[in-house]
Amino acid sequence: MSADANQPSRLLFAASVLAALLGAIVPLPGWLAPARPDWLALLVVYWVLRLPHGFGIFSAWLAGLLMDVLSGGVIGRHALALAVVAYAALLLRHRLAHYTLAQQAAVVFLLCAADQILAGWVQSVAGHPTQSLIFLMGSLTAAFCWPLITPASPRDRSLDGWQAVS
Amino acid sequence: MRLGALVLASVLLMLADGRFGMLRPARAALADAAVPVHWLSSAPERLFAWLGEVLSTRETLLEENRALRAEALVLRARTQRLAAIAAENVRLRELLNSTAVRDERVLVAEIIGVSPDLSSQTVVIDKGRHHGLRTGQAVIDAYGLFGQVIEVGRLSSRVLLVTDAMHALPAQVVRNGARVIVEGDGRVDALNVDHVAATMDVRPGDLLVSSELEQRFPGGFPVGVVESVVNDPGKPFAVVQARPSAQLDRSRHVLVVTALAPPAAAKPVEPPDAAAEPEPELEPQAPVGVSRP
Repeated sequence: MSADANQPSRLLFAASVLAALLGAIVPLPGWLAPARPDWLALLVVYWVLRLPHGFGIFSAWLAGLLMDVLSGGVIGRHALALAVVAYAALLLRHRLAHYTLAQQAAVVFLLCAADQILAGWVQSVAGHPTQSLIFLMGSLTAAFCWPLITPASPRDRSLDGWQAVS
Repeated sequence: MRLGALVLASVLLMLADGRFGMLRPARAALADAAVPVHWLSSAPERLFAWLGEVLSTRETLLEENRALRAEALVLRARTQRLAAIAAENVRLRELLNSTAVRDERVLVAEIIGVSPDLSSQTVVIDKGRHHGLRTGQAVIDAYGLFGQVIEVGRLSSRVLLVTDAMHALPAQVVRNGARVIVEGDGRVDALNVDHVAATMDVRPGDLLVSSELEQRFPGGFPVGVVESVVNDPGKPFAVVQARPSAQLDRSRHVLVVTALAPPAAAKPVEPPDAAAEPEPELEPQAPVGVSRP
């Protein structure tokens, strides 16, 4: 990825992170709140797969820090969780490019669940125990959202050229 | 190793914030920076409310106006009697040489953000230090006690709801004045009443009101209604559950009790100290007020 192609995407990153943050904190009716997709983890996975050299662990960490400030829990928990998610996505990105959509969605579910479990774990250490496993609903809905956003090119561009040749 | 550095940084941040509370000033500044985002996130809701107002017909408005006027009349009639009763109360309290009931001033605030976290129950309101808010002030809505202010920015503050797992407050059963401690347990529709002796007279349907014992909450506001009392002979305490009175998941406007005006003809009462750890005055084994969030 050349530097000039990265420049306009900075703004895109910021805008998409802002949108994901809004989606993550917009008030939902009580019965719908557990099913709120984990937008931020979804976005991190998406960007890491699509532009791994533009959006990395550090960007994910920053996005998580913003989420911490907005959500008002212990500062650093979403940052930690999203950095780990970004790292896992970076490791898995070549493999994911060859997966079917359903397989990708399953991996996305695992990644989002890792994010929520890590963040929830820190929160419970800080004295807010989670009530049940219902918080994993957010990862499930995020996995269902994955096929909706992935047609807009989910994979590493460097692999696109490789596929055209084969 | 980049991951390692970032994980280390996060853990340090979490320790500094959660364990040592070193980030308090930074948090206040960050809360201000977050106001526009909260405002934006609640914009759709506000837009719908506005559209509902603008697009309602004249008949609906007239109808609503009539209903409100009737309600205002009823409430005013009740207040008339309240004034007489309050005066009588003051006289009786003077006769008994007890401290007078404190008067409180309230400030209307709008909820602009709700914690997306399922395990913690906080909301963000659109009033802050600029409007005279301080940590520890009580927040009520039209139906009962809502929570207390835990974090104050310049133009916004964060309120911990009474149902949060970290929240507890002293309360009284209205019917017989029995003192209890009411704790949140993380669900939005349930409160736990702790350390109720098996012989204590608490029944389903009893109203619990806030007590001034801790000098943080104004007294007499409805906290919840007892829903179930389970007496297990094998346990030292009864398991008592209550339903919060305040409409914690529906209210859009809340009232912050900004000042407990000291009573005129009574011995001075210490103002609620926001910085100090709240001292439980009932059962010492139960945490009262809010421990560090």
